[in-house]
Amino acid sequence: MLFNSLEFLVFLPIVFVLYWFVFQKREWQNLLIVTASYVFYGWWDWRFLFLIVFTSICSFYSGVLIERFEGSRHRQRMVCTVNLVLNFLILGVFKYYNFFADSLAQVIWSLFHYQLDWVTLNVVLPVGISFYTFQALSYTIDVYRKDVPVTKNIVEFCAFISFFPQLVAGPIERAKNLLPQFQRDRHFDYVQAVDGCRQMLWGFFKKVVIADSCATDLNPLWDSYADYSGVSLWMLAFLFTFQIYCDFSGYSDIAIGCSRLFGIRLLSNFNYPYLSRSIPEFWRRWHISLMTWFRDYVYIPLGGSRCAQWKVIRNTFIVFGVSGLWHGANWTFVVWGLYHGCLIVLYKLLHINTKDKDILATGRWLPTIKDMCRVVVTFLLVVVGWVIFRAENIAQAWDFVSRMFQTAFDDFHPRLGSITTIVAVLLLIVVEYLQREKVHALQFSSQGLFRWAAVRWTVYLMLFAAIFYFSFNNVSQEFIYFQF
Amino acid sequence: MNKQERYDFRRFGARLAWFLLLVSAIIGFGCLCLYKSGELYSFSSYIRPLQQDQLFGLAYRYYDKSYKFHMTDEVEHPQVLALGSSRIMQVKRSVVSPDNSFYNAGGAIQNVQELSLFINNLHDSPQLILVNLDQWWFNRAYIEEDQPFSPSVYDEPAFEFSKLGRFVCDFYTDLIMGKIDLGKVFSSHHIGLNAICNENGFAADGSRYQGDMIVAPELQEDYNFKNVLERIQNGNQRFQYGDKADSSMVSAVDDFLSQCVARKIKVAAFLPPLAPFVWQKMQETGKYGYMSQLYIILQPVFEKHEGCSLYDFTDVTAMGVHNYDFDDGFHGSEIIYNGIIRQMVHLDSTLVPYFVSEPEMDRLDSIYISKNIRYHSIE
Repeated sequence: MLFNSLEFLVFLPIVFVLYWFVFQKREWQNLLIVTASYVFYGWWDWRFLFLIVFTSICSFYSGVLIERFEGSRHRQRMVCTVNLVLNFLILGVFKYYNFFADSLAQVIWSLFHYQLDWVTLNVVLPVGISFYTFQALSYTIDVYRKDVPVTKNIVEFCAFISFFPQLVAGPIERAKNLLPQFQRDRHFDYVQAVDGCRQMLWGFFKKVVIADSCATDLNPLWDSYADYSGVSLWMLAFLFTFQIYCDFSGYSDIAIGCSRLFGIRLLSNFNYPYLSRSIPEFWRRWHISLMTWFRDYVYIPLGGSRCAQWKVIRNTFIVFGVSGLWHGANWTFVVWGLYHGCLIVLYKLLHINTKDKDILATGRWLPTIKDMCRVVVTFLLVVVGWVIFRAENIAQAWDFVSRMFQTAFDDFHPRLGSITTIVAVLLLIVVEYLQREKVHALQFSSQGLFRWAAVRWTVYLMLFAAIFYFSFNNVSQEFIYFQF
Repeated sequence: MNKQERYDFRRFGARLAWFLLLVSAIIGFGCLCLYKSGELYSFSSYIRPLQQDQLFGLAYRYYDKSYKFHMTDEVEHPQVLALGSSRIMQVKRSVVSPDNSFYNAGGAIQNVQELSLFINNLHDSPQLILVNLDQWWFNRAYIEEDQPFSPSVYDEPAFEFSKLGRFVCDFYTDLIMGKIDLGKVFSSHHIGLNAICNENGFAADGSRYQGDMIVAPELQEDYNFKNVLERIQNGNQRFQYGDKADSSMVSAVDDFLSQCVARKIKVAAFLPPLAPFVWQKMQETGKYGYMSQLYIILQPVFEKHEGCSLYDFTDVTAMGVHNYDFDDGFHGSEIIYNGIIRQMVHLDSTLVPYFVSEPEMDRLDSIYISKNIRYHSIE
């Protein structure tokens, strides 16, 4: 079920009413969440529900066994390893089997001119498999590390794995944050619920108005990129840059806002990443839940940054290479990850300051010239990265990027970037800059123009009107991150 | 649920209710206007006779083909039927003799195969069909790109509720752009927003009334044939290039004429006019070879069938017409079509009983001339 569908418009109020008014006890509420989540997921393809159930059961019982083998670290490690292998096996078969089989066949052919006749699997990639698998893995590892206590209630655990707002595209939750929320009574909080609705509204605006408009302009032209001049290619790249941001962060906003209606607080996933002053800062603000996952379960166990410099560089490349691969079974994703790994290593080697903790221009109206330049450079580096991410293959990515710098800048394609798309993107930039110190863009301060309810309500209605209008005038696009 | 929670729920419910109320009010007002204008009626309720000065012109739904077919078949049962594309819509009841009933089904046909389909599905046969054969109907490139044949074009269309949201969006967009006068929406007796706001739609006799063009021709897309010249340059949107007339379409005309003869229907067909300026530009390209052959290829087909005749008005320069008498590059105005009918009657005396007399035709022309309508600044 898509957030931007009529089905969800019916589904959400029904679950909300049942949750607060019918199933008022925690145990029943958890059961309702599991049921609703399975309906939500099964709406797309019920057969893949077995995968979620299997993953949930494996991870749940691995936790139980780890506790049972208390005192025998060796056995605990074995249980943990078996569960990790099982989960990676499922992920490998459904997401990566064809990719690795084809890649190996190509290598064998290029080295020995021997054709390997692999059996490629004709399977559909289950929506959100990377998200819930990583969530299940984090629980097993945390239990093994004794960072979280074992849960013995399978309903609570299933609710944690399959909580519908974040099931198919994150944020990738951690047991430490989400599981305890299913273990205690939830209370309806007016302020949380209203702010959750605002966050959902902004998420829908980003997805339906901006991301889908960018996609409508971009998709028909991308494949014929070779016909366009450098400036048009940059424009295409900018459109995709905003499409992917609004698509993914829009989904996260909807998921987080929706969860707040049920008294559940999810982790933040985006924090104005395009206002970053360096690539390392960008990665502290982009897909936060994934990067912290890799930090905690890959980077730090490898030694993190408290080791010899060559090891730090190695660790960085491993993390970014694997995170690239996490996005999809294509070498372009791996190269995209390594490209960012290179940039981060470069920042490190050149001792460029990347320690910015606060958001750009904290407590000021405008950033300094130096910060402004850093934001622009970071943004352009990120844009080049998105071209690699969007390309069909490495050759296309290389050709596209080369043309961005080599071909003429005097011929702008007239069909590129409709006025509405450009206005919507500019609006996003202005609003997000002005609201950069807030959790989301629709958190208004109690001072200034927005202290008047009439002004705030006018904004809500205008956003709703825009969403309503664009949902009928744009070609509705599936969320990009569903495929990961 | 504790007291605080109950209080919070009430506040949240009230706030949500206010929001939904406002949203519903906005959407509801849009729906009300659309309903009042006639845009949301079921298709069957459109199939009824229009009042004398009433227009039918929907803005957001395209029903031209099925509307014209069902009006002809279920309501009008005309003795003289004008049939074809938008290039025959200008023929009005006033040129037809009062002894004959008339209906203009212009807009019902977009390719030759639809002619047979229309006649096949018709229960009552007219005595005379006046039909335009658009030149591009015989160009394979046009048929494939713009008008592939579909056997269900005259089926009664069902109302698609899923499109209601889109209609509301379009309504508000047009309202904001100043295209819609709410006063007229609630007071006009026309059906459809295009008819209400632009006086643009089908009249009671099925002919097209284009109020907005008469009021502000310089605002039209094809003022001074700008749009058509672009199409000629690009070879698209009816103006695809072609050397040869498509033989299967010529056979389809043969089939249509056979059906008409079998049903004792007289057919007066014509190749409709292009503005002299546009025709000259087309000839200069040398890429419309099929148009020059059409009359030569089609004439023997018509000669085979008794009571069927064909006239070529592609080039109307010799008739002394003006470019400014064309709505756009390929739609002549009322006076041009009056001239065409005069010529046809003059060349075929069997048509005389169906049309008004020469003096009456003069009177109609003088009424038109007195309006001093000029669609373009090009002479």
